[in-house]
Amino acid sequence: MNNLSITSGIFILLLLTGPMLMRTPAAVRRYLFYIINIVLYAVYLNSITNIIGILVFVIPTFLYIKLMKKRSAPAWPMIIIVLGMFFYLNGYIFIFLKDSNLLTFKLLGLSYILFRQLDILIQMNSGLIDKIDIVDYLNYLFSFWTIMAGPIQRFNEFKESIYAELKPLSEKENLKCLHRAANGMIKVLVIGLFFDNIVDNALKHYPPYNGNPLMFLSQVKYFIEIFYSYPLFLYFNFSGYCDVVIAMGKWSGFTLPENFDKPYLARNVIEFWNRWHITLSLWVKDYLFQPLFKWLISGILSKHILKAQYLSIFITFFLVGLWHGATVNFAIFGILQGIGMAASMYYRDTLQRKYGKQWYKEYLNNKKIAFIERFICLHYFSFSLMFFIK
Amino acid sequence: MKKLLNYLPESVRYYGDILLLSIKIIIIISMIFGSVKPMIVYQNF
Repeated sequence: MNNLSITSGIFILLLLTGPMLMRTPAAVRRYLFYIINIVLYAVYLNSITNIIGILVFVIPTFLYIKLMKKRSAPAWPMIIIVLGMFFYLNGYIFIFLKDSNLLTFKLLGLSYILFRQLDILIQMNSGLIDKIDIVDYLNYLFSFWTIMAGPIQRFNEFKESIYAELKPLSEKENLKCLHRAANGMIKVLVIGLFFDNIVDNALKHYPPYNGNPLMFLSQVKYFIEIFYSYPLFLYFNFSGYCDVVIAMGKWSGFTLPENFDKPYLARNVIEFWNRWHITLSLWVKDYLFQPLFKWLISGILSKHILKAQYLSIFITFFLVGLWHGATVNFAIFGILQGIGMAASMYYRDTLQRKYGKQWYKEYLNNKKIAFIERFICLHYFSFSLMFFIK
Repeated sequence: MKKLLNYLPESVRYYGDILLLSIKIIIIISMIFGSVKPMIVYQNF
């Protein structure tokens, strides 16, 4: 597979020509978009094995959607098949099958394609999607703006955007889009890279501890560099990319959801995930947390609603951690996020129950407490990221 | 930087905006041609 990067010529060319290509009448736009998406994805797959892999992953879902519409079939059998295929294609299964001769695949944006397929299946099951044709289906799955790393758009939002009659942007709006995209590029290429270099340098020179106190001080110095630089690198790298695609999408008349809202100003882990990778948080809230919570309160935890809530949020964010990769480090990252979410929820509920809602309102307005909470939340997330570094 | 532009008179603000955008584009181009090829971390997930 070729590496599609934010600085690759073809991606920049597509972003810059987007307004010309996409500001065409809706009927033309979707076919033009279809050709671009398919060609771009095929080029980046670069091997017949990968092309077969992706076709096997996405086409059965489309055929099943047709069956769902015709025979009112439930979504869950296909959800299980899609998840199984995802675990295989993404290499999760190889953890259990060492020295396996099974085929391996390198597919661009696989987990984002999975999120979109599940979104369609679940929405179709709930009757929120009426009909879908192959052009809309593949456009949604392989949309070149979001194929690299999101944001995770929902199918109905996507359809609304692709069929909308576009109004020309004013000069001011055009400039605003270009400024945001340029800022995003600078975040990735200049600021993000600056912190990345600090992390790289610290990791390279991190000394092994041999009982020498000077060596210990050197370890502490490099650890502090990594501890504070890696969260900043990750933020500028990912939010910069999101700024570029959201701004250039808007310039082309295509609305993409926001993915960041000053996450390091969050006061607790719940608020943090409402500000960081927002589209992922909303996705897991709708499709993991809520069904799990409903299942728990209708069964084994029917008399313990709060416990069901804490358990659901813990499991949800543990799985978010594992989504990043099937390694022990990502499992620990997930456990820390799960504990952070459940603990934040428990703390909020306890304060409200013990001291009342009016007191809690005053508590929230206290600036000193806000500062302390922000400090703790930032350091907790930074600590959890230490398991995130490869 | 963008906020500083608000102190400029209306008639020159637009040109200031274009100038600022040009500076950003020059920085970006020089980084790209300087072989900077960062990957987006979340691309690997």
